[in-house]
This record gives sequence, C-alpha cells and structure tokens, in this order.
Amino acid sequence: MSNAPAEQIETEEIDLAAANHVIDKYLTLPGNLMPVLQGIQDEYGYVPKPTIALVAERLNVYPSQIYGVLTFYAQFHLKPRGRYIIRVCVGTACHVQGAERIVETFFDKLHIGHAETSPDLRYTFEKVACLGACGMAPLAMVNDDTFGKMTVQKVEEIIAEYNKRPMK
Amino acid sequence: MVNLTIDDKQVSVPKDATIFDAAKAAGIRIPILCHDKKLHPFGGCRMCLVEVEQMKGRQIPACTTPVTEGMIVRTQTDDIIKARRMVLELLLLKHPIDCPVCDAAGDCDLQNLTYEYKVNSNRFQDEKFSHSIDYENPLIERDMNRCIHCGKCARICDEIVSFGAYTFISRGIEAKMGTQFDGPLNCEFCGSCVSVCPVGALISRPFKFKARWWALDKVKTVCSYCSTGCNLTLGVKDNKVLTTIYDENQGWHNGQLCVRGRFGYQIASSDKRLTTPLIRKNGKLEAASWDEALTLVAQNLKKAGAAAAGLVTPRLTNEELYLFKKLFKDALGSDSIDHSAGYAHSALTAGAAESLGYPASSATIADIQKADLLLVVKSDAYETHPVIGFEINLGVKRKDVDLRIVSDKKGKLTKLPKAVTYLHKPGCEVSLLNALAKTIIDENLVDAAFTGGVAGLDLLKKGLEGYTPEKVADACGIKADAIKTLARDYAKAGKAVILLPIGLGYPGHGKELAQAVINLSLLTGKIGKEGCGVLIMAEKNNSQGAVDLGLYPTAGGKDAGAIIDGCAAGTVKALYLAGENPLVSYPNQQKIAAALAKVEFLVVQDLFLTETAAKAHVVLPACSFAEKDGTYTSVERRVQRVNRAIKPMGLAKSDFDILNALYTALTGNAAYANLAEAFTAITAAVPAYKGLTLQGLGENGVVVHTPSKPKFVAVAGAAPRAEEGKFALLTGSALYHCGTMSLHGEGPMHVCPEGYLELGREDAKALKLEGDELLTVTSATGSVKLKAKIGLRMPQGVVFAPYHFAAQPINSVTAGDAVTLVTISR
Amino acid sequence: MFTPVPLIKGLLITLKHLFMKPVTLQYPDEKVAPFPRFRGLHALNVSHNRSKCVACYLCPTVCPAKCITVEAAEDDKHDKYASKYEIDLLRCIFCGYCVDACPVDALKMTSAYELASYKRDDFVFTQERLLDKR
Repeated sequence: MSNAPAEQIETEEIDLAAANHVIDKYLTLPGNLMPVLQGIQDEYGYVPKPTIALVAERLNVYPSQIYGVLTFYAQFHLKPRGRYIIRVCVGTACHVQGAERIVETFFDKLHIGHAETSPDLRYTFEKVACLGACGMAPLAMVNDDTFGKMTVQKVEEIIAEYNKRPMK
Repeated sequence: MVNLTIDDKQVSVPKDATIFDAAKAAGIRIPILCHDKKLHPFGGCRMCLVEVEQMKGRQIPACTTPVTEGMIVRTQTDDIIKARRMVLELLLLKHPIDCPVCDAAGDCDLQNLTYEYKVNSNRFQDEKFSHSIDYENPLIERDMNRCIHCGKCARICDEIVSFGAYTFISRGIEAKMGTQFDGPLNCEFCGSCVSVCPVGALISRPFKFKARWWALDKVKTVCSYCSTGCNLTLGVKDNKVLTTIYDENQGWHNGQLCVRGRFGYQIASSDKRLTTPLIRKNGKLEAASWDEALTLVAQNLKKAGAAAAGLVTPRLTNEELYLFKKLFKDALGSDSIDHSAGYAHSALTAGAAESLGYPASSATIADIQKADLLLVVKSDAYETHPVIGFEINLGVKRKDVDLRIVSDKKGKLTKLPKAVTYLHKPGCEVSLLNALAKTIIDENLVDAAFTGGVAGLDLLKKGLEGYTPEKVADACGIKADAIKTLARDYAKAGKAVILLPIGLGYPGHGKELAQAVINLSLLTGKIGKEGCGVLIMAEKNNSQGAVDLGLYPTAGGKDAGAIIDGCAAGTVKALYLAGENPLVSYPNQQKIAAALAKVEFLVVQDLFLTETAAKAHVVLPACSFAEKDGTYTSVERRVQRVNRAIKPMGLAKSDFDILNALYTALTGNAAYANLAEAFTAITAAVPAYKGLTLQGLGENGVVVHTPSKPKFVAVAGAAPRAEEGKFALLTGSALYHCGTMSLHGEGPMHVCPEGYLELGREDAKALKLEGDELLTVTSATGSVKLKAKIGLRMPQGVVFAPYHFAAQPINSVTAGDAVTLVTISR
Repeated sequence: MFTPVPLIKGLLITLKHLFMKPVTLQYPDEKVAPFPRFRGLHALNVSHNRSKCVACYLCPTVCPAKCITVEAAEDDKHDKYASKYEIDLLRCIFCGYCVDACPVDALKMTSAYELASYKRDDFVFTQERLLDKR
C-alpha cells in the first residue's frame, strides 16, 4: 500500500537503454524535461510507462508531474502509434467539401476511430483541424505524403497502396 | 515598508507583501479560494480581484500582485462584486450542487462565498463532470466532479509534503486534478490535500458522513504521537473525537499535520479501550471496582516498598510524570523508575547532559529553516517526525538550505532536490562523525574563539587520533574525500543544524552518537546561535518532559534494563507499568516475557489491553490525551497545554487521578490537590521550567532555555559488525506509526497494518523474491516471520523492519544492539 | 325598572342556536378534517423502497426544540443515507421548520393529530414508523 511511485515495478517490458541514452544527453541542461520526453518519443514512437518512472528517478521530477506534461501537450503519446499516421482535415474548407464522408470511409475500412491505432500497429487515424492546404480540400495526409481533392474512391486506393508498404 | 491605501484604510506592509497580505494586515477580508498562507500564490480562482486606481480601474488578482508605494486599492466596488459573482457562476457551472450529501458543506469556501454573494441562479448552462470517484484508498476519497481546480492539493503535496502525488491532467475543458497515470491515489496519506481543499473534492474517509462541521465542538490541544509537538484541533461530538480540523493559523507549523496526527485520532474514542479496572482472579482478568483494584495495588506496592519499580511511558503529561516520580520516591522510597527502555533517552540524559550541561536539544525547530546547512543523521528523521520533515522540505525548497544526509539507507529526505546523501555501512555513525571532527581539527577549521571556552578539547583531540578519514573510510564505506568535503562544508557553512532522531527503534542512537554530534557543533562554534545547534529528536510526545523531570534513576536506582533483570532475579517485587508495553517495544521479547512472568506483582495502567497488560495482575484503565488536561514538552522544549476534549471512557480515570489516589492510599494524603498545584511544584523543582505558569503558556506554549556548560567528550565508535551470509537488520519507525500506540489508531492501521521486512532489489533477486512473500528472519536471539517489501531504499546486505507491531514482534530477534545480524529464509 | 326585552333577546339567541349546526363534534365518533396545511405528525417520503432522506443534518440543525436525531451512513454505492432518523414528539413543537429546511423533499407533515399514547417511549418515532406507507 505504501510503495512510493518510483518504487512500483512496471509490468511493461521494454529496453530502457535508449531512454537512458536520451537522458544522459540532456542531464545537465536546465529545463530538460521536454527535450528528454521528445527524445524518448522519437526513440520509441511513444512514451512508454517504464520510461516515465526512469525519467522521474533520474531527473528528480515527480512521476505525476511528468504525466501532467505528457497529457497537456498533444505532441506526446502514451500508447504505441501506427507505422502510418493518417490525418484527415475537418477544418472549414474541407468540412464544406465533405470531409466527414472521407472520415467515415476511413473508419469503415480501417475499423478504427479517431485517435485510435489498428491492432497490427499499421495505422493510426486522426481528425485534425487544418493542414494548411485548403485549396486542395478535402485533404488527407499519410505520414508526410499529401493527398488532395479526396474522394471515397481515393480512400480505398490509399489504403490498398499503404497495405503493401513495409512495416519497418 | 511600503505604504498603501486599501478601502480608505492606510496600511504599511513589508515590500514583498502582496495586496492580499496587506488587506489581511488591515483587517480587510478579500474572498479567495486558491490561497493558503503556507503556499506560494497561485492566482487561479480569480475571486480576489481588486481595483487599483493607478492601473486605470483594471481588475487584478490581489493574491499575486505585489504592493507598491502609494497604491490605492478598492476591494468592494460594484464592478468587482459583479466580476466575483460571475466567477462563482462559472465555477458553479461544473460544480455539482450536492451539498446535502457533501461532507464539506458548512466548511466549504465555495458554498460560503456563493451564499455571501447571493448567487442564486446561473446565467450559463453546461453539463456537470462525470469523473469516476476514487474509493481505492481507505483514508482519502477523491471526487473530482466537485473539484474547482484551485490546485491547492497539488501545491501543498509538492511544496510542503514533497511527495508530488497530484498534477493537472490534460488541458482545457478536459483538465482535471489527477494522479500519475490517472490511477488511484497511492501516497503517504498525510491528508494535507484534504485539509486545504476548499470544497468537498477531497474528503477524509474515516470521517465521511460522521457529522456536520457546524455540529462539532472544536477543541485545541496537542498531538500525542511524536515529540514534534504539533497543535491539533479535535472535532468532538457526543463525547466522541470524530476528526481533526485544519486551521492554517494554528501553531508554528500552520496547522500542517502528518498521517498519524490527522488520521490517528481514533485512540481517544476507540471501542477497544479499557473501561473498567481488571483484577486477575483464578488466572483470568475480571472486571473490578476502583476501590478493590487500588487497594490491592497499594497493598502490594507497600509490601514491596523500595523493591518496587516503575516503568512509565513518556506519553503522560508532565504533571502525571512528576507525580509518578513522587509516588515512587516519597511514598515507596524507590529510585527504580525509568522510561523508554533506558537506552532511548540516553542521548539526552547521558549524552547532552554531559556535553551541553542540560539534557535537551540546543536548537529549535525554527532553526531548521534559518540554517545554511542541515546535517541529518539517518534519513529516518522524516519517518520519526514527519512535520519536522516538512520543515526540512521547506528549508531545502524555499530557503535553499544545503541538505546533507548521513544514513545507512535512503529515504524520502534523500530524494529532495540537491540533497547529498552519504550512505554508510550500518552501525558506524559514531566513527563517521568522529572522522568529520578529526578533519575539522586537522584542517584547522575549528572555531578557536568558541572552543577556547569549552573544556576537554585536548582530550577530544587525543580520542580522535584513530579516526582519520582514510581509516574510517574503509570501515564505513564512504570515500575519504567525501568525508573531508562534508567536514569542510559543515565547518564553513555560516549556520548549520544537526538533526538526530532517537527512540526505541534506534538502539544505536544513544549517548555516544549524541556526543559525537555535539562535538561537531562545538568544534565549529555552531551552537547557541540562531540557525545553529543540535536537535536531538526524542520519540514520544512528552519524551523531553520525561527527561526534564528526571524520570530515570538518579540516586542509584535500577534503570529499565536492570528493572527487567531484577524482575527475573526476584529483586524487584512489584512492577508498575504506566502506559509502557515492553513486551512489544523493548528489545528481546523472550527475556521480557520471562521477567514479567516471574515478577510477584505486575500492575499495568494503559488505554488498551495491550500484550503486556494481558499478563498483569491488575490492569487500571487510563485516559487518552483527549480526555485530560496538562502539559507536554516537545522536542524543542516547548511546553504546551493539552486540553480535555471529551469525558473519560467508561470508568477510566486520568493517570493523574489514579496516581494521586494511590499516593493517598499509601501515605494518607493526596500528593497534589489539582493539576495546577502539580505544575507549580514542577516549576519549583525543575530549573528549566522556572517561572512558567499554566496561564502564561497560552495557546502556542513557551520554549524554555537553559544556560549551557559545554564540554568536549571523546567517544569511541564501534566497529561495524558483519558476517558472511548474514544481513544487517536495522529497526526503526515506519512513517505511519509512532511507538505502539498508533496500532490502536484506525487511520494509520488502514495504510500500514502489519510489520514488514524492507530489502533492496539486489537482495530480493538473490533470494529469488517476487513480491510480498513471507520470510523468516532469524538472529541469535530468536526469529520472526515478516512480509517482504522490495524497494529502492535499502543498500545491498541491509534490511529494515519497523518495530511497532505486536503481531510481528521484531523485538523477538533484536537484543538492543544497533545492528542485528540475521539470516533470512523463506 | 324591569323590562323583559334583554331577557327575550337572550332567549331568542338561545332558541336560534337550538336549530343551528353544533360547533362541537362527537369525538371520537366524529372527527375533525384538518385544513390542507395543518401540521401534524411527520412522515418521510419514500423513493425506491427507502426513505428519500439523505441525512444532510439540516433538520436537526434548524429544529428549535432539538427533537430530531439523525445518523448518516454510507451504503454499498458510497451514497449517504440515514441509518437512524428519530423524532421525539414530546419535544416537537410542530413548527414545520424541518420540512422547510429539507433540500430533497424527504420530510412532510401529515394531517395525523391523534398522537396520544400510554408510554413515553412511544412518542419517539423511529424511521420505520415515520416512513410514508401509502
């Protein structure tokens, strides 16, 4: 009952070497929590639970505060993310051009909802407010590739294309 | 000082004050929800908006705005009242109106302000939160639907408690106050968050639904667990202590309490209390009348005469302790009285008395925050005296006090920012401190102006010859350079305080260690000045009082150890135990049990039928701290008044009344007519208490001082004991307990119900332990079964067990040595 | 001088009353029907098979005669309910403040006014006896 948080033994098994390496890099920097967490996310694709305990212990920050920071910024993810991140714009221009139908088609085809990841870790789907290319509305992005003037037909083509791409 | 005008009132305040502070000083109340005087200003609730003329009528928060010269502040304009109403409307938008079932009602800041500002309706509409309520832990219920995001819980947990259980999770409308991973609360359960919560989002579960705030009688008294001497307000209804009430203006600690003080009040109104005297008839304890019991006790004590002995708990009030002593000295002619197993007070009665000239600490608690450097001997200082621990946290975080910890294990204190820990092998504290003193002498860091007036420097120098850092380094496991750095830093610090916890769980913290510590402060002249000195932290609420009043043999009588031996040998004919439970708390249970079985007549006077009381011939029911008046002396020698909150349970009588009745039965006259008379007798007999009056103590007590006659005393450090394949067992206090009395407090027992054996991860791995498996711990004295607790605190080869628990008696393996060598098996 | 006029007037009144409806009732054969807002014996409103009372302690707080005893407890769902609710009618002054104070409309006053009893204990109405058993 009275275990301090840092003493809780995490069940999730991951290799902490990369996280330790990131912490070593920023250890002496003042205000190092953000770069450390960003570095960890770059390494693992998300911020795994055991790394939070590690960061807390090594930087002498409360685990609760780290969790607060992680949930405050949208850039951090506490769950594993897909290899391919699909973003569909639902901003004003795209909304007018029927973005909602594009979103629904993705939901149907991928069987995942907003901010969810497929069980095989291939896709993560996100609705976003604007991708800054309103002239191409409705717009979708897969990782860094942009697809303008989206249609329901194109959704299927994109999924078929990315199903063929490698996972690594 | 800065002059300003608030609501046409002239105020003069220090220049670091805020408008809120200035208004308070002028007696003007500004409504606020997110402020506590102990915490940094937050500016989160926007209730304290005021208008400042120089700022063109803009509304600014009073709690975060510093005062400037000539400021003209208005706190009650129509615009401001309108703005405050709007703030309340917005807060009530999400806050559920479930006051009828909310425990905070009546003591709720939001409710009071809503009433005061007549917010009867709301112009806005929204859905309420639907967070799940945290019922996981037994002490603190978290209903985040009621939370108004003032952030006080997170701030007190960080700034003062230094645990950091809370944080704001997420952002914007989804933001809520939560814990790590949004899980259930799992912390120290000091309840500080509950005490500052302005609404009913955090409530005390033991008190849940028990009574309304306005129906409680609030009685100010002093906590009866450790010797910190925290002031306490008890909430009493129908002759029952139902809760403790927070008052940010109470005592030097501003109402701050630890888990024991806040949640351990149930000892006063427990159903398990003794309510009638018991006499052993045909081998069984049976209820009896007071007359019968007292006559029997008086007869047997009289028969034993000088062969009677008494062991008393330092939990009694000064008046009771003094009467106990008088009973033995005057009525029986026996000097065989002692307390705390003898060794737990030797740091004061033998160590400080010889080295300083008085048996007490030289520093006060206030010195902790005034020091530049703080040297803590054992990280356990936090566990034994949590509220002093909070002072250390505050010193480190706010006053930049340089914290150095010399300890055989890590702990909460070692985790503080910038704390430097010197982890040494168990049992070599004295050698290590001697090496520090040696370095100070060798490197000529001695304060010659001060040591000139102190006797014994040459003897000390001679005594320290063998303690060069190089020699000690190997034995204690700290590098010689680290020892030298610590010595230099301590000597060069402008002001430094050394903290040393002592108690039944710390047999190694006796005379020698206290003198080694005092030598250090004498060498560098860091004593008798503000922010300097030594704080020897005795264990129980009135330990210092028991020492001051001389509750130990002073004229050749038997000490605690000799009394136990005397019982076994038959030289002690009658043993009177007032509140002591030696069977659980004194070392070597088998020996104690044999001695108690042998003694001809055993009287136990206690609150509960303890393990020791169950063996007695007569058991007398006594009163808890809530049922009596009197005085306690805290660790800093603050003499404070205890006030009666409830009537005695059943037929129980206060220790004072029982002892007085016995005195009458033995001598024909009462010792004292009343408490005041006893207190007057104390002030006449104890030089340190001279001139004190009960009325003069007031609400905050009086700190007494005695002139010091310092002297260097060379002490020898013991060689650390180690044996291949054996673990070094350390005993001590768990954070949740104090002595054996807290075992009857439901709150502490909810979170820490049983004894355990704490060991490090390497040892756990070597023993192939996975979780809380049951281990058998065996020493030369005996063995005990304890649950394993694996953590990061313990170095390899060292294990720790708290000593409080009767069901897992650690004293069945210990025999009063600083370190016990044990084997561990499954 | 004697004149029979006042006497006759008086007798006329007597005579008139002989044919009027009597103001008294043949209690207990006949009973008074109280007015709608009459304050008689208390009753606890029932909801979901238990008293609506949430044990907020407002009625014992407002009661000028201090005749109400409430004890709260926590049920399986962590909700608050009254484990004990007693009104000592010997002390009650039937002022109705308790009904006014109740925030959850758990308490009302019925028209029952026949409250006599042989034993003093019977005047302490427990929660069970106060429940509205319609």
